[in-house]
Amino acid sequence: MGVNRRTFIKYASLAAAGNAAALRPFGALNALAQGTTDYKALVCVFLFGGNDANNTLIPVDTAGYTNYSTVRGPLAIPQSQLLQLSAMPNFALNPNLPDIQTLFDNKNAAFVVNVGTLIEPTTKAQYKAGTGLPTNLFSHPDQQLEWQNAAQSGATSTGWAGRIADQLTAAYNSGASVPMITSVAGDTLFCNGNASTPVSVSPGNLGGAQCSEGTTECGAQLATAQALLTFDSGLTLVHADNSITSNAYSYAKTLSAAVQSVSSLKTVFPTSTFGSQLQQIAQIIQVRAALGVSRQIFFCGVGNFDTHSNQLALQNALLASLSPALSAFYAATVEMGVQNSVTSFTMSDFSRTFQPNSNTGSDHAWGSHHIVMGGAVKGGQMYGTFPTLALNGPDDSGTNGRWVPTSGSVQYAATLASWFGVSPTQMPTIFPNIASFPTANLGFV
Amino acid sequence: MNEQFALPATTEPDIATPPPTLCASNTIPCQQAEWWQAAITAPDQLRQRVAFAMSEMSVISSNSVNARAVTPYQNILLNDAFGNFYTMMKDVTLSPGMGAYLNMLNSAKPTGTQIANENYARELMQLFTIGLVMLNQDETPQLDASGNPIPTYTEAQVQAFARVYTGWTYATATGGIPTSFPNNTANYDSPMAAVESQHDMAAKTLLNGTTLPAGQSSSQDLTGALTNIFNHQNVGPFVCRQLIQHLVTSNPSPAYVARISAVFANDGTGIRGNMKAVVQAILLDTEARAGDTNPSFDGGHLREPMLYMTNIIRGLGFTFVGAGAGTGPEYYYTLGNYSTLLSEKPYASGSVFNFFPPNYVIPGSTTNAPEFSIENTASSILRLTLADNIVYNRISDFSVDLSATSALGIMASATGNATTDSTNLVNALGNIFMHGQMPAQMQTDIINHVATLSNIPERVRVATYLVITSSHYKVEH
Repeated sequence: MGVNRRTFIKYASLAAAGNAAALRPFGALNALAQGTTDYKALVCVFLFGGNDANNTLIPVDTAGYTNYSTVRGPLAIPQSQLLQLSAMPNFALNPNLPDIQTLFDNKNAAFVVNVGTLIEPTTKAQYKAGTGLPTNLFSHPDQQLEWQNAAQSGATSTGWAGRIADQLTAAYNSGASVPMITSVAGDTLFCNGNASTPVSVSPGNLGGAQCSEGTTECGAQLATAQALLTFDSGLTLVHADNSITSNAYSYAKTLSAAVQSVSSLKTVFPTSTFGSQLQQIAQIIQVRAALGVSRQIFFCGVGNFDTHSNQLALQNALLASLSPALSAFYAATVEMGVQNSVTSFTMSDFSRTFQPNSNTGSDHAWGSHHIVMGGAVKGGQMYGTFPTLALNGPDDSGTNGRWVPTSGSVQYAATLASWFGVSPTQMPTIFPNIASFPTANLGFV
Repeated sequence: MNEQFALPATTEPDIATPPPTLCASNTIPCQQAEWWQAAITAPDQLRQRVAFAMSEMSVISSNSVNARAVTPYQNILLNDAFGNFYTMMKDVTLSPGMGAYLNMLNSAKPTGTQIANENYARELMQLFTIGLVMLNQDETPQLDASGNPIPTYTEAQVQAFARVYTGWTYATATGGIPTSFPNNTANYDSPMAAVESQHDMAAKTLLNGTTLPAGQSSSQDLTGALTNIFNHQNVGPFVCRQLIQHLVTSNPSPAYVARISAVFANDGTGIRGNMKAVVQAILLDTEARAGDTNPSFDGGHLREPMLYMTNIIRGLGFTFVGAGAGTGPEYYYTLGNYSTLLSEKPYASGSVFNFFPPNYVIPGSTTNAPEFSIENTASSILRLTLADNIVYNRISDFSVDLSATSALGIMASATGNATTDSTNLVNALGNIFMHGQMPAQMQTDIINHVATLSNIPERVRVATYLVITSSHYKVEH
């Protein structure tokens, strides 16, 4: 990284010569510099509501499938429909994940299994004793927040991506005209640091605000509107909104200028929410040079994974929209030549009970299986320990198949952070609990 | 306020069968049109506002619930807005809308291989009534000896409540008990009915050590469970603080919350859960009224997108000119096309957690401000575009006159002196949108700007735009 760092400083000083956004003539220079820096991006894909991992990655050895279909009953997917993984023959995927099957078999995707919120390695006995546990297990908002902040409770007000940005912005993005983190799915704790806040963009709307007055008056109106943001009335919420609006003007100007300088990617994305979010992320990666960034973290996400009833139909539709969107996104990174520099990963509130409920659904559980994708991923295999799928078995926190995680979400996050450039000495600052685990690196990337 | 309390509820009619032409293929637009029309034009504005707040606390969404079940649900909240909280809780629980949304509808008793659906059991407690941790009456968390919050319930209690709520399905067309379970013929207007053979009859251990004995009917169990929750000490502080946040201020002092919780616990006549008394106390509290005389009192809350729309539509005097104008049900649906860009549409939350969470904290601060959860650099830009469309009279199906001959236009040109006219215009906008409390510097900046514009409609448009895009207006205080 030493060589890259020096190169970067040179590049950064170029950008610092002026507002990077306004420097379109320097675009080529920036791109040149970018080529020699180690651009990296992390892309978080959040499956809001708690994706049922038990119907995402399914054991298909004879005993495993028999057990699965017996316990899952009405939620069991017929074996003939499952997508067999050639790189991992004892497991198969939900029928709606054909693109993930291809990515996995081509070793561009991996699964991290039975990963969940933990503050230290935890056994079933420790769970029963009720000490050293994440707070409010099985609660949606709390578990979403704990996945995002890698802390014991949702009350910790920074996300792990935000803390990475706090630590790495000066080193990697000192000349940047936008924050290190971009959300295309609104505000989330994941993106917020102590010192850094994300830019939030609405997919397909990078053009800035519309103004219908004449050019002169639009400029004057903008100036007055911005002036109104500057005086301090002493009202906390007004001040907060002034700050957001002020950033909005600045980022919109930068982003709209940047995207005007490039032609559209050839990769075709699905028109789903996942598709348009990931397409927007790809477009921003495409203009990374103009933005002056060599490290970026993105957040996108879709909801409705909370399948308490009618699960098969609901989850099928959601996974069917996820699969081609992820595939298109990977193809776009190949088109841009950054497939080895962009790592995408899923997060979700929790998995769902292995035992179905009486409503053709399943309820809130804990440890889950997650997808990591990208050229840098050591794909075609699973990481972590697959749980014993037995009700009241060694991995069941109770009697309904809520698996006690065998890997912590903080280890999952730290592994991604390490690849991204977080140094061992920075690790404890970003992940205060990481020392409680035997390793900070699960090895999947 | 007594006048408002006394007004009858402006309820929403059921969507006709077959549905009106405008929503022939999808009934959601008609349901949303009814919501907007009532929110903007109904005389019982206080009731509408309280019902809206309740709909953001006990959420259902047409994303997964048939729109025909949504209007009766909204009517429950309207009718119960000033009644007793227990009644509202029970009506909500048995409503087909909530039943469908959180799966109490058709939740059968557990079998040997299937558990009872936990969805409603969990969220009724977590979101609608008592929350996750034990609270003091001022809504601050109680702490154990080690300084940690104390969970309100256990997973075992969630499962016990889940078994309570088994056996309910759609009532028959006449509101009776169906002969089969589940009853797949929807009846959205009657409370759900119980089929006893599908109700779990085993004993259940609920909150505070209360046990429901084995052998009780669905209704007996339900009454026992709802009474158990209603009497939990958390309900007052949990519900009242959120109501304050929706109606008055994002950050009420603990003392303010405690004063309202006390009214919830006892309205003065020994009754618990009197929502009329609670609403009255919330609005008349000294903390709620502090801003009346002191514009710099640090309170208020961000106008959420739907309320931003309704306030501006009313404030500028937009009239409806779309289908059905003046002749019957007016199709106010299009307003949602604008608010949805800012993450809101009536009864269309992405999840039971509402458009924004009550405990949201503005990043980089310790300021609790729920509506800021959907205010970010993306929505901020989209709102500027919306404001541009508003002042250019481009709200589809609505019309506003901001011409030189409109009331604002006349004011903006009456004397021919640009400064005088601009001052009068900006003062008028301050009265319309900021109850006459526009900060002096903001007023000066806008006056100075628009006084340079000699085109009167442009002067009106720009002044209006600058007011409705300002943070001072966006934050209602």
